[in-house]
Amino acid sequence: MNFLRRYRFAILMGVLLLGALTLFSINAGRDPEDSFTGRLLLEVLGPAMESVTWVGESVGEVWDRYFALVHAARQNEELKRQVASYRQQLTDLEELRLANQRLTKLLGLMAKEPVPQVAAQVVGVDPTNHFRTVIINKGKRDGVQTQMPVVNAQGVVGRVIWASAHYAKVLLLIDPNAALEVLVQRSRARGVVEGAGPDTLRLKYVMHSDDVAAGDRLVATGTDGVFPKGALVGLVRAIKPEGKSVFQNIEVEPAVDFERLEEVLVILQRRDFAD
Amino acid sequence: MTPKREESPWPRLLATLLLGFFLNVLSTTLFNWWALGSVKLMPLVVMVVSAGFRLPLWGAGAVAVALGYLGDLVSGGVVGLQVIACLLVVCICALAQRKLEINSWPFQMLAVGLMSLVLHLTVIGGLMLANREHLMPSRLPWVLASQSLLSALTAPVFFALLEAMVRGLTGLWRLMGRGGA
Repeated sequence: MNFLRRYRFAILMGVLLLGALTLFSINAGRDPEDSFTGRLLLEVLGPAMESVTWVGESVGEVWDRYFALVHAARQNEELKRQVASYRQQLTDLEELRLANQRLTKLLGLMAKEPVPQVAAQVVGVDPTNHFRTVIINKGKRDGVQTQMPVVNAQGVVGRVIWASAHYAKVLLLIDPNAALEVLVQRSRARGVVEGAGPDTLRLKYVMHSDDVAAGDRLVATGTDGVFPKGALVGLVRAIKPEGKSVFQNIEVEPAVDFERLEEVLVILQRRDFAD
Repeated sequence: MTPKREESPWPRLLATLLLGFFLNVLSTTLFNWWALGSVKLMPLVVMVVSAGFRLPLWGAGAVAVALGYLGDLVSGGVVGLQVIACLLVVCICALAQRKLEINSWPFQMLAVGLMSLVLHLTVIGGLMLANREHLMPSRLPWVLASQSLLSALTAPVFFALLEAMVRGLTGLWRLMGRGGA
C-alpha cells in the first residue's frame, strides 16, 4: 500500500499513457464507425459546427450581395449574352443526346441508369495541418456510408471515411493517405494519384515510356469501385526529372479547389463503375 | 495570485471541457477561415496545458482524453493519435507543475509555445510510425515554428477566458451548496 501511495503519481501517468497507446493500437486497424461514442459526439459537434458555418455564410452573403449590387447591371448584360449562347449549346446537346439514345438502342447496349446522389454542405474543416478531412451535414439517415465517393461540379473531392446518423467525415483527395487509380485522358496511360499537400497531387507509377505532358487531364478509371469512371481528378502541372527511377515524377493540380469547398455530392452507391 | 489547487476541481474540469468543446467547433470553422496559409489558431493546446498545471492528474487525464478524442473525431482517419499527444502534454505539464506555476503571461506563453511543439511533433511521429510513406510538408519546420508562436502569442487570451469561466462556474457551484469550504 505504501508503494502505491508513494508512486501514485507515476503509476497514474503510466496508466494514462498506456491506455492511450492501447486505444491507438486498437483503432489503427479498426473501422472507426464501430465507436458508438464517436458517432454520438459527432452528432453533438455537428449542429454546433453547422450553426457557426451558417452564421459565417450569412455574414459573407450580406457582404457579397453588397458588392454584387454594385456590379449587378454589368453582370446582368454579360449573363444575358452567356444564357443566349448556352441555349444554343443546350439545343445542340439535346440533339446529340437523342442521337446517342437512338444509336444505343440500335446497337442493343444497355443505357446506364443515373446514379443516386445526395447534396451535402461542408460544415467543418480539419483544424490541423497534418490531415485533410472535412465534415459534411449528411449521414447514414441520408444513405451515406463509408467508402462512398464524394464529388462536386469540378471533379473528385474524396471519399467518406466515417458516418454518423446526420454527419460524415470525408477524406479529401489531397490527404497523404488518399490514393486513386487514374487514366491520362489523352494517351490512356495509367497511374495512381496521391495527395501531396494543400493544393497538390502526385501521379505515381507512370513509366518513362508512357506519354504524359503538362496540361493533360487525369480521370478516374472506376476500377477501384469507389469513384465513377471518367470523373475529372486533375491536370498535369509539371513533370520533374527523376534520376534513375523507373517511374516519372509528375505533379498534378487538383481539379477541385479544396480551399473553397462548400457544397459536395455524395454518390450513394458502392460498385464497380468500370462495368 | 491564482491558488495552485482550488477547493473542488469540478468547476475547473467542467469549464475546461466546455471551453475545449467550443474551441474545437471554432477550430473547424471560424479559425480555419481566418488561417494565414498553413498557420491557424489552435487554442485547444491552451486547455490541455491549463489542465496539466491546474487540475489533479486524474482530472487532467480525463480532459486530455476527451479533448484529444474530439480532435481525432474532426481530424484525420485514426482515432487515438491526438489522445496520446494530449496525454503526453498533460503529463509533462503535471510534472512541471510540481516546481512551477503558470500565473504570469510570459510563462503561459512559453508553456503553450513549447507544448504546441510537443503536440505537433507527437502527431507527426505517430503518423510516420503508422505510415512510413507519410508525406511531410516541405516547409514543416517553418510551419511548426509559426504555429507554436501563434499559439504562444494568443495563449493569455484563452487563459483569461478559461479563468473567467472557472470563476463563473465556481460561483455557481457554491450557490448549489456543493463547495468544499
